[in-house]
Amino acid sequence: MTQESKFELLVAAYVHDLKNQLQSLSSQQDSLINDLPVEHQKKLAPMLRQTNQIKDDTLRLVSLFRLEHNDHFPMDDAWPRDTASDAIESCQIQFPDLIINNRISLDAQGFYNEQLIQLALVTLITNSAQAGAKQVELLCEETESQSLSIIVHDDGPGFSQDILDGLADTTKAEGTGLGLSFVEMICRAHQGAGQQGQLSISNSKAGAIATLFLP
Amino acid sequence: MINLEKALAGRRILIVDDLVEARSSLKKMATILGGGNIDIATDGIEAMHLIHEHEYDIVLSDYNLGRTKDGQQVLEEARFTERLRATSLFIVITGENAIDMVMGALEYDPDGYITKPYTLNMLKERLIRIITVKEELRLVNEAIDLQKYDLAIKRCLEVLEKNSRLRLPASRMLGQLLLRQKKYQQALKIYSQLLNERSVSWAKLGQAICIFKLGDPNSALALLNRTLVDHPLYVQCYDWIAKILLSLEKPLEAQEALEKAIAISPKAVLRQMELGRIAFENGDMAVAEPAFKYSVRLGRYSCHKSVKNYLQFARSAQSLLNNPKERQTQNKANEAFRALDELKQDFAEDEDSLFEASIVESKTHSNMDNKSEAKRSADEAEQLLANLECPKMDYKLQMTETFIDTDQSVKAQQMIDELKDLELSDKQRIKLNRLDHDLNGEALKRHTTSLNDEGVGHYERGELEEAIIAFDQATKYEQAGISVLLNSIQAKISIMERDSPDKKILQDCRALLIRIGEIAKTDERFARYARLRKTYDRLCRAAAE
Repeated sequence: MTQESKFELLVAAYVHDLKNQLQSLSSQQDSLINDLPVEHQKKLAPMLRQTNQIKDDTLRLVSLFRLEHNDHFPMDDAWPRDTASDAIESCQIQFPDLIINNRISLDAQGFYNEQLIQLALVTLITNSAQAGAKQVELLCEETESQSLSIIVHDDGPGFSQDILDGLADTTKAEGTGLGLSFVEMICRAHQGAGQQGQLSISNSKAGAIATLFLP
Repeated sequence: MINLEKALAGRRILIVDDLVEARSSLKKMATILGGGNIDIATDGIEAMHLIHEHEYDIVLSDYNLGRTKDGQQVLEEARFTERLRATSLFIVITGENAIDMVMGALEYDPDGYITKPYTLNMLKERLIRIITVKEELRLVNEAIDLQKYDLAIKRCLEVLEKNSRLRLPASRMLGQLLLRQKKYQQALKIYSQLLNERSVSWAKLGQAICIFKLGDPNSALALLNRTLVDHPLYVQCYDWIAKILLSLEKPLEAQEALEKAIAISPKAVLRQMELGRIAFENGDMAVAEPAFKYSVRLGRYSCHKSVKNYLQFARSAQSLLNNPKERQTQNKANEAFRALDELKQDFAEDEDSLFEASIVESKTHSNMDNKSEAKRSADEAEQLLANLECPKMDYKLQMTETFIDTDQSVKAQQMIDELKDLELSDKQRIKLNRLDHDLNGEALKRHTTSLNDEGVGHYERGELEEAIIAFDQATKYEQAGISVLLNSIQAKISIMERDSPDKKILQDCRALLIRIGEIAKTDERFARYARLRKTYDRLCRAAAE
């Protein structure tokens, strides 16, 4: 084993371990906070948010590592409404004032890696919130060829022209600012019936639109 | 969509998790969602006990259950023993690490999986989806429970026709059913059609199995290897690669494939047993021994517990007992003895197994240079064999080998003579010939040497009659060497010198001298021969007077 691959393996193992510990910490905090009187719950909520944020970032790191190494991500039948609902649940801890509407039909069905898509949705909603959106809508379109588009539409300032033109990845001053690249990687990891998944972005009259196409 | 509260009410539910927080959290959530009749198991063994005792409608099991079985094995055993109906639900809870293992299983696949961590809401959503799909496939599963597989196939096809959203679960079931009914061409069509649109690992495996069964092992191998490039942890592919390589008479490569699978997933008892079997056949005891050791350990509390695992473990361990004085060797031998003791205890009613255990035990003692214990176990085996109503030919061959190993040459010879006249398979006949050769070679030589030593002892103490008896026994075997024959002549001559010449004894001496034939003058035994010959001639003359 080369020095480099040994290093990568060690980093991967530590990050994976970190992610598990954070998951456990977050669920312990959650259950402790729920056992406290409401007034104390409010005081401790930022701590839970912070833990949650680190946990999500670590999860992104693990997924990035695996995506970079073309690891196998199993795909299966999945239901976008449920995936969106899970992503919303996670985001509401971070952004309790953000209004997030899940307008995806109960019957909508896709074929994707649920964990990755949930992570992509969390990333897009986080982007919206950090860009100043007050409201986010999640929608879904199914095509006859059984492919699927999940749409995240916010009422924020929209993407800058540089980002739309592919000249920049971010305009944000804080954070890694690489959320869109990460979501794009996730979409591209989804392939089927000769097509590859993709992320497209645009602006509407009122806000930004990100569309995840999953074949 | 089903109403979860109604769906869970009145259903008997089993939750399996080795971590106390996870167990209680899941039980709490399941209760909130409407579950009332909930049992808890803390590991795979307890889960199987409960599954054998009660009929469960839903099993929610963590994949990783600590040191013993994992969730997938609980599922396999529950379905294999038919303790869990096809209409019952088995849901595996797993972290993303093990999800490949859960989703790849072709034969014993769970009805669904829930990835950790999950919240109450996530659990609820997931259960609704899984139970809804199961309900849509209820008629198919009912036919499977009634073992009406053709009806199940028909119903599966109807579901596929009517509801495209069930394409994946229905195709998976249909593929399994068609494989079961040996309708490989149809199964191949189902898998191939699905793979045109969806890249699912189990369909690739199913496709490869069909191609192999339809007579194209090389294409099947290529397909499995391609699948492994994309999906290197897909252990079931290695299992089938091994099966196909065996069919191509490439047992060494088959062993290699299974070793890779074991490195990824060591807890599967059937896989360990198969690796042990192939490595044993290949004579690779260093691989066979740990594989059978695992098989014993993993099978101990499962439906796969078998006498064969215990025996094969001890047999493969035997071959590794190279230096009885070394601590490592002693530990290995002790492990083998413990396994045999456990076998004798747990299968005490099974005389065949007890016999085989005694044989293996005797051989192990022999390899550890413990002759008295080896003989004791051989005696036990002999007794057990005598009690068997209709012992197998193989048992008689094993007994013969044990007689040889424990220096019981006369018994071995008797057994060989008996077997020579019986109808044996080619393999048995080869073994018999080998034993015959061994006996009349090394073992007999050892035996005659020991009789000779006995005769010399008597002679030196002046016990001439006893010495003659011992030498007579030794010279009965054609393998007796010149020195033994000379010893026998010397004892006979000495008794005639003490008493008086005897015609019968002289005749015996003559026969022995003829057997010796001519001895070269350069031979170190010549002087002794010449001296005895001279005395013999003198005694002959005296007898004639």
